[in-house]
Amino acid sequence: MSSRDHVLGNIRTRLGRGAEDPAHADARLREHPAGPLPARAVGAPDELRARFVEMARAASGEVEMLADVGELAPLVARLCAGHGVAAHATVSPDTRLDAPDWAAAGLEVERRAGRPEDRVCVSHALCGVAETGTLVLASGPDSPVTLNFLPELHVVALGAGQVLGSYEEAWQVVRAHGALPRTVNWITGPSRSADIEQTLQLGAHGPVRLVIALI
Amino acid sequence: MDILTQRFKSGAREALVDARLQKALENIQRGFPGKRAKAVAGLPEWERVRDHGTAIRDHAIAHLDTYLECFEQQVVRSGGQVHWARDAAEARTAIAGICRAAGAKTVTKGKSMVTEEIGLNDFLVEQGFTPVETDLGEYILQLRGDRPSHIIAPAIHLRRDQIFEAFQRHHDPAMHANSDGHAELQAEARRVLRKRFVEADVGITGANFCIAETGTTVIVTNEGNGDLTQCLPRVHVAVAGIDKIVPTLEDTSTLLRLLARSATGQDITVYTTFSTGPRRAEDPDGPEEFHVVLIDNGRSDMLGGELQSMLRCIRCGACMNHCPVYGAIGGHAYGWVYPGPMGAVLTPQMVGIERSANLPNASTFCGRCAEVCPVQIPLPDLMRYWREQEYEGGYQPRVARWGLAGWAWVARRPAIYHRLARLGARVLAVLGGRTGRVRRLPLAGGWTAGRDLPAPAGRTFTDQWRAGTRPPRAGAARPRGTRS
Repeated sequence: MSSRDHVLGNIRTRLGRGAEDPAHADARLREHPAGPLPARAVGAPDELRARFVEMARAASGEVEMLADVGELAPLVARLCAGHGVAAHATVSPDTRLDAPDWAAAGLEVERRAGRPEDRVCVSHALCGVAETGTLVLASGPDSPVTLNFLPELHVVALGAGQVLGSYEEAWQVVRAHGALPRTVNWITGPSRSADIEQTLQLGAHGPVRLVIALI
Repeated sequence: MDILTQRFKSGAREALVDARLQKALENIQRGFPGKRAKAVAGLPEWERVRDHGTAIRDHAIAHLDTYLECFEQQVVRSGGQVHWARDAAEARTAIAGICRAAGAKTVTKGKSMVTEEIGLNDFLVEQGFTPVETDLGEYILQLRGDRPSHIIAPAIHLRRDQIFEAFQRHHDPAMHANSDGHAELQAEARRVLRKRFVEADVGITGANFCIAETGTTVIVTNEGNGDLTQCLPRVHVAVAGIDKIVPTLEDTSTLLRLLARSATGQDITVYTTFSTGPRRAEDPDGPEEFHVVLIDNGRSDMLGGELQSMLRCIRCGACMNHCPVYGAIGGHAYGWVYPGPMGAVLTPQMVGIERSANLPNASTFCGRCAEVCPVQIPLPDLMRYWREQEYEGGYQPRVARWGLAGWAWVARRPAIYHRLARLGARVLAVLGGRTGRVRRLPLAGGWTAGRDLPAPAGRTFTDQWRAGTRPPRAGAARPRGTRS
């Protein structure tokens, strides 16, 4: 008997069924009902946007309001200068990030996955979740997952219309794209640790700063 | 990990007089409960979410076989592999096999209690691999040859100077003495671990949840180490107990609303990562192989019995953060991987009650653990179950057994009981003298070391009742020796 059969058989026996008698649970998987939603996850679009900004800032994220995606290039240039690093950024191959004139802002840009030496990376989020100020990024050719974790400074563009209320709404957006991508990242603020004497320090292994560009 | 559960009493005694540890433990008492309370107060729907989360866990456990099979199918459909392990040895062998097939040398690890449970690191070293813990706390412990003392804050027992010493010894003996600040130490670990992330061939993480609907494993971290562990190496191995199964993405979302609030008092952790299969053909990064190792190790035996509700546990650590016993002695005294109330229930199941009989006794039954548990596990009831097993199995120390047997014998004989009670009341009243306070009591020196025992009135309740001197009503003078 394989370990698999042994484990499954023991579960069925202990639950008072025959070793070959599985429980039926298809309905829940098919319908995937949502649980109780917090009131703070519900509201008009402008309320949700305001809450998203408030919650993201509460998690030590920085939020910049941009009139259009073109303003992203000067913002990144400013951030590089302010952070004391070269005007160089790795930008995800997402076509929505083709529009900014990076060179005009004085930035040298590479469109690729992350590398350990990258200090500034720019990604585009799939959506944002107001209830906790969380960004949702889905990995794929347009959104290399390494960009989210290797740099010191991570800039994430997010369309203001993509700010949703709850995690459950975010899953609807992900489901609409078909099968799940390799990685879905929920990101709420910059990396941190309190492992040394329970004293919170930002920038543990991931980005020290997370800047959300709300467009 | 060595099982030191039989050393509980001496470990607890040592912990109580360890000034450095006591200082470190203050961080728990001062930090976690207040942060949790604030986060819970910030979610007015808390009790409803908690009830729903509890129902999700119960449903998943009642249909565990089916959801495990669904999970397996979905992992395979998305290009991953599932390995089943009945016990720790099978799990270790499966993981080492994956590492060997990958031609691995360096193996990075995200924080995972189940890999501590199966003693993975020592085994990997024996097999010629170099495991590197990447969670800051776990990394410090690995350098020191130390063990975790908390399931979410593993190095909480350490002070900053001990961490500085570890880095100085293992990274750079010339490390400057003024680089011992929190920020400097963290930056040092980041610098050194970056290289290890890049050179790793296999990355091993745990899983906070395994989602049946999609074949997804979920990890929550604040540091991002679990993500660098799984997105840089060629192979990602997720190791999980079979109890981690959750039906759907929506169900997982409900549980995530409970997890971080209960654990660190955050609304959500910085990173919540859902991993499904290996990188897709068109993906520019991510692991080429995805393996899930599902471990039973005594879990399926908890089904259908008194301990079934323990399988709801989502490993938030709230029970230990709110436990007066854990707060006084820390996690090491418990002697194995899982400390505090949840450990007092799980450890006897996994290592045997005969080797861990003291753990379920390490509780005042104050009930705070059950009160704060996000999935409403009746932890005191489960500890009581183990106390019964301990008694029935005869694992109590002889003195305790004789004492209890003697008590039972006397308690069933009212005449003798009354005579002894009368004697006791009189002796204590004499010992109390004019002050009505007993300052030192033979056989109870520990109790009177820190406080006086109020002496009884000199006559037992039964005697007073018979004599017609009824106990006074409220407002009447109290007999000597009682206090408000």
